[in-house]
Amino acid sequence: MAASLQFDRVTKTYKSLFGKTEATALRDFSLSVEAGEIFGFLGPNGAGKTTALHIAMGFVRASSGSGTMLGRPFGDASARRHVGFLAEAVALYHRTALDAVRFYGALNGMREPELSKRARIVLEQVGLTEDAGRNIGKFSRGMLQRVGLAQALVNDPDLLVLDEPTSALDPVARVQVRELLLAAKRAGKTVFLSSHMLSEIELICDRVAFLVKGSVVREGKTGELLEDHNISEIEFKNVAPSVLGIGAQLQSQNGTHRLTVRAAEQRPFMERIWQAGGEVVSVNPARKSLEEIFVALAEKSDKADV
Amino acid sequence: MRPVLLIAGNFFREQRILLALMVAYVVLGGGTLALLPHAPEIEDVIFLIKQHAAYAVLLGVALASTAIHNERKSKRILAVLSKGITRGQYLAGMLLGSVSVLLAYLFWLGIIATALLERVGVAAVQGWTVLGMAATATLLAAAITIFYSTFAHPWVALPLTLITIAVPIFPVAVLLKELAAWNPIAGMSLNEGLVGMALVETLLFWGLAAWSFRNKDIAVAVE
Repeated sequence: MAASLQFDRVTKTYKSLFGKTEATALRDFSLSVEAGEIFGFLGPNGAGKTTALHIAMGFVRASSGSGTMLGRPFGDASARRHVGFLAEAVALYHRTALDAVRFYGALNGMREPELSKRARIVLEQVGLTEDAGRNIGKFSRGMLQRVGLAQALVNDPDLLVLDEPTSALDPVARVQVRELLLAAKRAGKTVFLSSHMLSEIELICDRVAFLVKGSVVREGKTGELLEDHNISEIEFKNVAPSVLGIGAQLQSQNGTHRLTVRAAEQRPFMERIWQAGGEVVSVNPARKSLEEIFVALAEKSDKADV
Repeated sequence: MRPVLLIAGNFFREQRILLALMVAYVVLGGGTLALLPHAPEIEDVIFLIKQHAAYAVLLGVALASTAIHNERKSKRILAVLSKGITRGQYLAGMLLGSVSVLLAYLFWLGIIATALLERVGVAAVQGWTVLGMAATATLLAAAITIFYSTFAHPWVALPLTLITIAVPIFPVAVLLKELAAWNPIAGMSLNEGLVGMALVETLLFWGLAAWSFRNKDIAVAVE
């Protein structure tokens, strides 16, 4: 499958005016986002996520390395026509929501009557139909973020690059945005999503990458990353847990019991269940949350610095 | 060309309150003179036209010096540059936007000047000639300022522009000198060579600005 977004050994160093001090935002950063997937880009504050997004959009130049967006080099204006971008802190011109979305759509070469039609559709998708005629200068942060999303969607982009798209939204609006992104994926679009909302990333992303101090420390399919192969989850029935001498770490429901054990203890436990006349329903690797992985990676990185 | 016009139109719209205030200043000041029961003194009329024409040039420099800086500071630049436009188109839009604000201001000044000059017996064409020269000077001054503002803070871009426009090879200072020396009794004709040179240099500075801005990092503070 073709890559919609490709970073190839990108390094970005910010220097002070006279070059005395410098800060490296990205180090030898490589990443490939395949067409048609929702890719979650995670990392603690200051990890370099926004810098990576800004390099892809051509706002900032890489100090070294290169990359492509929709097959064109970073910064190419013709590629950006097919991209929808939402910045972390949404800042738009103060017009009515409808006019604002139309303005940004027109900048991407859209023309009437298609432009107004699309603007109304995307405003409806983000739940702003009733506020379309209001000036966005009077909008709350959450509403502004929704207009930001609408202007990113108005040109029906092939690639969506979103920096914290739900940070200011209430739970209902978050669900709406989640559905919107999933619909975009179903329509064959690619979504590159930077967010701290780990539960959302877990729900919608096909793949994720963890960025710590400018480098990718972990990357893979979300489902695989969440599986912990050192811990097994055993589900069994037809035997009382007391017979097995366990209880504390047990979850029971409708006569079925679920137990997590270290992978090395998996086989002996299953044999004990069978010997007691029980039935093993399933054995799976235990699942961790993205939050647990995130915290562990961040802590590991901090320890490495000490 | 369409993105340039869209950005220019948007800039014009963003400056509409400033423009309204400036036009109100011209209309009130000039209108008062025009509505006097007796004809105003010719010196007062000339002073008013020269004064406001000079304001246009200064305002052009001020607007252009802060245009990009304000867009970056407010982070609005990100949503614009995320679209399928080049940096050169963006700058052309900002330049055209700045100049169109000033042309609107000069247009209103021209209307007032026409009414006033007719009352003191001077052909209105003289007033429009003077304002045409002021518009040309404004255009070039704004282009020079935009160029400096692509890499310098407004407080640096502003003095750099003032130093540059004082250099005689750039016609801004010459145009302003002719403007200051204007005397309707002696008359004035449009110096076409000077205007042509100013227009060529405007394009040159826009090109330099686009080149300078092409690879410039649009670094904004991250939340």
